[in-house]
Amino acid sequence: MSVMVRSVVLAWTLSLLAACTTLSADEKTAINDPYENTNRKLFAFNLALDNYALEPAANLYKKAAPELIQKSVRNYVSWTGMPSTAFNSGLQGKFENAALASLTFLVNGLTLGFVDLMEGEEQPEHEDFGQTLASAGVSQGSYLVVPFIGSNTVRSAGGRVVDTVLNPLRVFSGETVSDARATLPVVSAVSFRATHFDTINDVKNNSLDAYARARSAYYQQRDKLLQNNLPKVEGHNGLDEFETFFTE
Amino acid sequence: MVHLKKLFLNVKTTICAAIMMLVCAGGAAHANDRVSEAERLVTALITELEQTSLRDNMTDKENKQVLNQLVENYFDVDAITRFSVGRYWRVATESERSEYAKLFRFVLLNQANEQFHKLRDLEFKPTTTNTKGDKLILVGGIIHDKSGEFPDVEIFWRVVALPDMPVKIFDIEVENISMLKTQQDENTTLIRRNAGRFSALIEALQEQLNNQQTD
Repeated sequence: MSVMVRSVVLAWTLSLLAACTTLSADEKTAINDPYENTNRKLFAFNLALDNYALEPAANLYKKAAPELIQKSVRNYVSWTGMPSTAFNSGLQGKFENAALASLTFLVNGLTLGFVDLMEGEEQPEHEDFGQTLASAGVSQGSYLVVPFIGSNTVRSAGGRVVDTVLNPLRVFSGETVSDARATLPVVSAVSFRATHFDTINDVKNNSLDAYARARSAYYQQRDKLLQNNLPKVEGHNGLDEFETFFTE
Repeated sequence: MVHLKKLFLNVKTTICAAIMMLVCAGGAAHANDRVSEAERLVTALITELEQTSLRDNMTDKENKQVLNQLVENYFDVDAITRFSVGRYWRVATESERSEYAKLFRFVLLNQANEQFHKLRDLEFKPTTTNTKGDKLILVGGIIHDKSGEFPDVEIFWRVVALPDMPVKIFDIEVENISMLKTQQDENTTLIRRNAGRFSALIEALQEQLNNQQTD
């Protein structure tokens, strides 16, 4: 079985698992962590990995690479996500965003994504397959900490597999492209870690419970991304939790 | 007679409409006042932070004193403290509440003090302000790093505007992550994993404070 077929089958299975969880509409983005004990062990593993590999690498990268290079790498990582955004926007009926992502991908493709030739122009909104599944009514499933990757839900983990398959580098063959494909996750991880260096260190060093803080941050960011995909999650009287607090 | 009746009705309708417009305009003007007040509060805080961060030769103790005063003047400390432990505030005893409030403030001040030097190169560019219901205002902006080390970051200040009270900052949302919500999730998880004991949170904070002091 080819890698692509296997990936799609895996994503489909994960999506089905997510669909099988019967959460109400209100709880589609609420924290749901039935495997917390296992997740905490995996989180500890990822933390150790960060301590011994990712943090030192990101620190070195931050110090050694000039800001221009770091920006180019961020552009490149963002560029590789454009086909996925275009594809998923199309699936969700957001055709304007799909067109914008395709245009950005083609234009920036002239520099292999390292230079953002569309800088200052309207940027496409990120859309992934996890968001597409959310739009289709698939519930998020349980919270999962994935080794080497980090926070996910069953739905977003399934979506991630499909998005990986849609990476433009998969279309091309050749040694250079193959190397680029293999190193993309590492480059992406180091670039992300360097960009959020102090924030992540703050979570690691100043938290009472780093796991809970990371999980909360993940859900909040994901909720924001899913704002256009799901009905607005609010309290029973139409207020968010901050407004509710001041009405009690 | 019919004409007079019609005229009287028209006058009545016009007066009612005028009163309604005045009431609505008054309400809108009041809401606008609160929005401007919230924007001024955030701008004033940023200005004070910038000025303080530029002062050289300040000791840790002096920094903390300034920060403590800023927290007192600009933040709704009481509401922040209560929100940060969610539903567990209700189960805490009076002494646990006051002990928690004291420790929570110490820990926050220590952490803020550690980050203080980073403010020097940051600048705040206001973008949009939105009201959230009749008690909350979101003052939005971009944090720009003048040194160019970090990309621009989107930030929202959640300001509480209760009737007849001065506006105060309740929460800061950076890149869609609410600092207060994150703190609440962390605190409530810790209490929940310790069989709902509020004192477990106090012990953890005390330990963190001890570690900060030995660092």
